[in-house]
Amino acid sequence: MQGEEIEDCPAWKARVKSGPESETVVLTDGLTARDLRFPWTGNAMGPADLPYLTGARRVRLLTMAGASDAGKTSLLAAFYLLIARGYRPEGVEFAGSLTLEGWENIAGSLQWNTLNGPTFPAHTSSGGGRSPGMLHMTLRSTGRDCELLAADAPGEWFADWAVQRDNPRADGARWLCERTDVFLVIADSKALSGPDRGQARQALLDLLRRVGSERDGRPAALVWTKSDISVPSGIQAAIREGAARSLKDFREFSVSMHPEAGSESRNKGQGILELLAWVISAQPGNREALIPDNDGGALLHTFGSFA
Amino acid sequence: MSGVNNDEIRIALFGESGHGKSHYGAQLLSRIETEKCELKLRAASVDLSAYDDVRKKLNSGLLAEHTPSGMYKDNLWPVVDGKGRALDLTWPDYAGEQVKQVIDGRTMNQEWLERTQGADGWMLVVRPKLAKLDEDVFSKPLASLGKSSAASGAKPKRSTQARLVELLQMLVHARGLRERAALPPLILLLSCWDELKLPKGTTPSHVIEGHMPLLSSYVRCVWADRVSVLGLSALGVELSDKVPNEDFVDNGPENFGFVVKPDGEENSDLTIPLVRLADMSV
Repeated sequence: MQGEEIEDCPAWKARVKSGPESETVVLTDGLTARDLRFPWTGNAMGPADLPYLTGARRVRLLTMAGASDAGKTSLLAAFYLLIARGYRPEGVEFAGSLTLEGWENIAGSLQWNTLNGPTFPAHTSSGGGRSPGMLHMTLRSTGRDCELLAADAPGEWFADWAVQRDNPRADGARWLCERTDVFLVIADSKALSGPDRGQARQALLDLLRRVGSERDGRPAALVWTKSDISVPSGIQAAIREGAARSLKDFREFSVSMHPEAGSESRNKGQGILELLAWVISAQPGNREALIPDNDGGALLHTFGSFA
Repeated sequence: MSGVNNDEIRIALFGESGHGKSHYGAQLLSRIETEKCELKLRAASVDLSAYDDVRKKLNSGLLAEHTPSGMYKDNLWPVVDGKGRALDLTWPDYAGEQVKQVIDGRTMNQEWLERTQGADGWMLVVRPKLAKLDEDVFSKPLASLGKSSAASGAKPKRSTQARLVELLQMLVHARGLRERAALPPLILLLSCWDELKLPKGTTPSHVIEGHMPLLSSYVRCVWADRVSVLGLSALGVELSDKVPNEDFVDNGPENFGFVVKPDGEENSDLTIPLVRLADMSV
């Protein structure tokens, strides 16, 4: 990802036009000119922060494409909470973050406080095409730093983008897609087994097709969230076939925050650390078309150069 | 050994209010004065004023009061270590609000910037009991989770370990602004060790890994072998601010308190962290 000008971002332009939002920075203070003001806020980053970050280091932008309520923010929160609890992918260390406050904010709703038990994070609002919030974390594995930047974007963007690539409401999704290094396409097990599963299936197949046509060799994975809920086998098969047809080479993961049987006392959820390990190490595949195998089981194989 | 070519070791001490910096400073001074430690004073007298109030309280068997928030005082202690090396220690005393201001105000004034940049070693005092992780969906799962409404409730409280990682990131940034200066060695001092009621032999690295795994991973990454995690009980016992501890009075504060070395062994020499920091800084 190159250093970006803020003017490049259509979502940002929309935001500027619609006037400043509540988080306008106020310059308070009895600070003198020589006092040091730190160049990061700890909160989620917007496009304007990217030059600061990308100027110094190579960033890996992760986009989670999926419907509203599919569990995208919860999955990010789970990445952070597990690391904060000392559960990291094998051989991976936490080397810092410029958005600690942002991580703590989304993780906060998965924590117990004095009044309430945990809840899933509130819906990420699409707020009229605003820019995506991005959370940063440096993870070190085998002596290399991965500057992970995860986009926490509202599901509506992807729904519009899946149906019509050039939909003005999908500005944010297009902006992300152009810059993304790793795609996760989120399959919501709850929606795909619920009363509106037919529509959810169609929306996901549309999204897979869009990601497939735009990814241009970049790594992609199909991620079943809330995997403790079972999805009817016909729908599962249709999604896998759709993924094979559209994405061709991809990885598949199933994640849940519920403990694996037998490991309740040291709950790491299921599949979350495995997914994170892949996200920080996946490399662009070779761009030759792979012939999809019609046998569903074969889709779980690893394609591309991930090893 | 008379003042020529002394190693000057300036220590930048960081720690929030209530984590035990002043008690440690006062006890450190008592140890050095009574020569119950590796470090010995080279000069006959030093300025004791910074810890006068704290030491009076401790000698009465009581907890000392909070350090006044505007205060900052550098104490210069000319000492010699067990190997005959002369060290000039600069040890600060101040109220923890100043650290809170750096973290929450996200600014560092010129004085703190100079201390951070000029120090030969950094020491971060953390009281693990105040850093307990909150329960979350992984540590205490629910059968099913409700949906949070955007309007509900206040901002979640930031975890202590996230605050400390942020503080260290700020210090690293501040240090890096000056001629790409190399990072100084770091001592993480886990304070009020006695209140954790741990079995003998528990290692400090075990405690930090259990209480603050994010911080633990971060310092390992950034400092590698230039960080040392030690335990500290400056007083050895829990004192009250009202009821004097007679035993503490009779035996003298200088006979209480211990450091927990990396192997989990307790040692009554409270200057171990300073000697270790001096060793790592050369």
